[in-house]
Amino acid sequence: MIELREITVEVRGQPLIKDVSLDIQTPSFHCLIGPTGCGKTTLLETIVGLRKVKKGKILLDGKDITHLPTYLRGFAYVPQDAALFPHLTVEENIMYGIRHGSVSDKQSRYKVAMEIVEILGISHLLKRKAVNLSGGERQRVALARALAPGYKYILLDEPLSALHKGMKKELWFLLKDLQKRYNLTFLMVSHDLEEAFFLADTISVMIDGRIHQTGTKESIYSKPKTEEVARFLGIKNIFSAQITKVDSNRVSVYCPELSQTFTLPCEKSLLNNTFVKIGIHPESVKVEKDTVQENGKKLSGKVERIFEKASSYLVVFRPYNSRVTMEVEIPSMEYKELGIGEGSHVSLVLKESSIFLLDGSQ
Amino acid sequence: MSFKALCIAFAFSIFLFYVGLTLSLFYFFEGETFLETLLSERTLFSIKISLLAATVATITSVILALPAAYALSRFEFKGKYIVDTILELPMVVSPSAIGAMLLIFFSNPLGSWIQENYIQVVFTFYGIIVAQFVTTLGIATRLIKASMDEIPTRFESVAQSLGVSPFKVFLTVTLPLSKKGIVAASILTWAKAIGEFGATITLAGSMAMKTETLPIAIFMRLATADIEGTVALILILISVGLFTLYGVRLLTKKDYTYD
Repeated sequence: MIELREITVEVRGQPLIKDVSLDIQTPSFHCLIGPTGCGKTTLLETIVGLRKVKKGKILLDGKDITHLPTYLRGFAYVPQDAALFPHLTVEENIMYGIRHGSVSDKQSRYKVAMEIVEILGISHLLKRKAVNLSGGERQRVALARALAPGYKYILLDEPLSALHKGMKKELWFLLKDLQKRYNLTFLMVSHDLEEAFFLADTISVMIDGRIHQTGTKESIYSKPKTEEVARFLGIKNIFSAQITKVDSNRVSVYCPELSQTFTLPCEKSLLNNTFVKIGIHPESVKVEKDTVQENGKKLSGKVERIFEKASSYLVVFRPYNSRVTMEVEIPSMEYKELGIGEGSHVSLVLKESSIFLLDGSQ
Repeated sequence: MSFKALCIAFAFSIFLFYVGLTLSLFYFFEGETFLETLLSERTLFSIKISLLAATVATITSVILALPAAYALSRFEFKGKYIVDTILELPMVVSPSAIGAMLLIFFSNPLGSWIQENYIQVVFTFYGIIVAQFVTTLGIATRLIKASMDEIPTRFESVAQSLGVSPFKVFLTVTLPLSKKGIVAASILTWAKAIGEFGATITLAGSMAMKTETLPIAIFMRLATADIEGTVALILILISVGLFTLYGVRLLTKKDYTYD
């Protein structure tokens, strides 16, 4: 298990990583996501040993490795651009760690490395120089080079970010296969939500040098903990609300901006009349083409803008007599059946599962 | 005239300036004197000790410059900027001043002790090597550092993450990747050493058949108003210099670039 204990890292006197604690189980696929410049790469470089820790500890299987040099840590690192050694052939790149590192049984590692080469489909490249490979080939070679010496912990820094989607998907499947076949622990930095949700068993969301939330992908997506996490996930429907009733594990909140009261599950102890924020998943909202308001469960208003996406439509909706707008994402087929356009009067059905309570009461 | 054409014109004017200066030597060129000078025992000795001293000084400079350049290129340490600045000392202090500094050093108790117990430097062949070594060490370090600066550190980071020690990474990644830069730096260092005059004449003197390098021989010929002999020696020095510089151009052509 990789354990980070209140890690703080400073770059030119400024803290870039602030009190980060994280447990990564083995074997597993953990994705560290967050906006550009949030400190993801710095954290990865710190774990590899390329940056000094100002405060805190890094433990690997219970052993303190905070001050161990990179080559003794046991993490194979794949940077964003693969960093293949340009003076070596593909084969020499892949075998580099076996040849020059402290691998004990080199012969059997060579065999495993060739097996990995086969799985990654790069045997035809072995004799080629590492320069002039395509983006996908480069990443496959970099992956083979990281796996060849037999490390169980592979740290990937946005390795697929420069690839087109088709190539990315191919590599997603390969990464998953490799992880399962060799019982590996992958820690991957990404800002691509689709990629992270496809690959990860667990996800951490990092914002401004801090980890805001760690959990399964389901928990991260369905219940973002903070407003920053929700916004990073692309959820713009965030509204102020006030607690009006507290029951065991349930709270009623009134949202004046939507003139609606919602009853939501709540694991924390909250006080009556506390001001909170709620979020609404744009794709969990049902749209109906009518203007009738039924017992307050439906939210009526007008469609302001419509944006066409690859397989859905993003509808910007404004409730009647409200200053705020809400985004609703409707699958293309459903949208066409609805027959709505800009200016249409519609009602939204807000299911309990589409609404979540955010941390940080006001 | 377009901006591009103007710039190209400037490039050619620099070329023509140096070619014109070289061609002007032929006003005093005599084939017979050239061959006589080239094949004379004194000139051949000057060529021999110039090549030998420059080669030894270059090898010594490069061996010391390699780890120093790596440290300056890769690590942050206290006093780094002072060390980095002092590399330019031989460029800002005139070569004759460097020679005088060396002469003074070898006259003080420590220098005298070294000379008495280990090696006689002043007014000997070793003095040529020491003078050339001191004037080229900073430049060699600066040039090698520049070639190492061009190599992204991520190659070394990845190599270390594969369980390879920093020293082995230096040997298997850094050195091969900066090989062309190091070779080019060595050739330029050698060219600088072979043309060195001020420090060499101050420390080693100008004794014919003993410490008379090619630049010193040129000076001595000119001092005795032997213009034809001077021209011959200058042409020999130019040939050696241009040959090495052309070699640098060929060697520094890159096979790959780093993103």
